[in-house]
Amino acid sequence: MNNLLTLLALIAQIPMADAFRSDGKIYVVIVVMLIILVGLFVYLFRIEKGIKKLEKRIEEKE
Amino acid sequence: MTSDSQNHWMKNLLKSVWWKYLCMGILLYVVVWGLLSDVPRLPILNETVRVLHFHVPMWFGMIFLFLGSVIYSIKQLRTPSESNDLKASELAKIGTIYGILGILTGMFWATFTWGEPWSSDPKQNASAIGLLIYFAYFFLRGSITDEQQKARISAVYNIFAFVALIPLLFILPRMTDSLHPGNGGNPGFNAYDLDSGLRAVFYPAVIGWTLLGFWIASLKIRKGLVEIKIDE
Repeated sequence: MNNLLTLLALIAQIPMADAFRSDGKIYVVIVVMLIILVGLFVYLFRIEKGIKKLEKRIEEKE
Repeated sequence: MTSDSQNHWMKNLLKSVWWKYLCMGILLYVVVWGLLSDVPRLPILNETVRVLHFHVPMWFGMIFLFLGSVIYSIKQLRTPSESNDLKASELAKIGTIYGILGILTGMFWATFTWGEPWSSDPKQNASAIGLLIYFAYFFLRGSITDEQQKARISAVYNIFAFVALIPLLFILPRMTDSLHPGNGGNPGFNAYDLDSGLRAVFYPAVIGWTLLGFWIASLKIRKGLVEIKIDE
C-alpha cells in the first residue's frame, strides 16, 4: 500500500503538458479556431492563384 | 493625383499581398489573445464579453465595406463603367454578409445575456431594417436587365441606402433606451469597453475583420473584371 502511494506521488511529479488541459481546456478551442482560420486563409490564397492564372491568360491574349 | 495614376495605385493595392498577411496576423492574434487575455469580471456577461471581438467588428466591417461600395457608386455616376458598378455591388455583397453574420451572432449572444434572441431592442430593429434596405438593392439589381440602366439606378439607390443606414444605426438607437452599450442617450462606450485589455484586442479585431472583408471582395472583383474582359 505504502509502495503504491509513493509510486502515485512520483507519477504526480512527472512533468506533463498539464497546462494544456487546465483552465477549462480553453486552449483546445483556440487551436480549433486557429485551424479553421488558417484553413480559410489558405483557401483564399488558392482562389487568388486561380484568378491570377486567368488574368495572365487574358493579358497574353491582348 | 490624376485619375490614371490613381487607378494604377488602386490596381497595385488590389493585387499586393502585404495587407493580406497583416489581416492574417491580426486575426490570429485576435483569436489567441481574445480568448486568453484577462477580461473584466462582469455579471450576466461573464466570459461572453469576449464576443465583443467577433460580433462588433462585423458591424464595423460592414460599415467600411458599404462606405467603399458607395464611393464606387458615386464614381459610377460620374464616369459610368462596368468596373465601377462591379466594385460597388461586390463590396455591398460582402458588407451584407457581414451584417447577416452580425445579426446572427448578436441573436446568439443575446440569448444568453438578454434572455432571448430578439428583444426588439432599438438597435436590433434598426439594423434589421438597414439590412432589408440592402436586400432591396440586390432585388433591384436583379430586376433590371439592361446593364447600363442597372448600373445607374442601383448606384443612385446605393447612395440612398447608405445615407439611410447612418441614422438607423448611429442616431435613432441613441434617442431611446437600448440594451446595447453606448446607447440610450449615452454616446460613449460603457465600463467594459473602457477596459484597456479589451481595447488591445478589440481595435485590432476591427481592422482585421474589415481587411478580411476587403480581401474577399477584392477576389470577387478581380473575378468579375476577368469576366468583363472575356465578354468584350
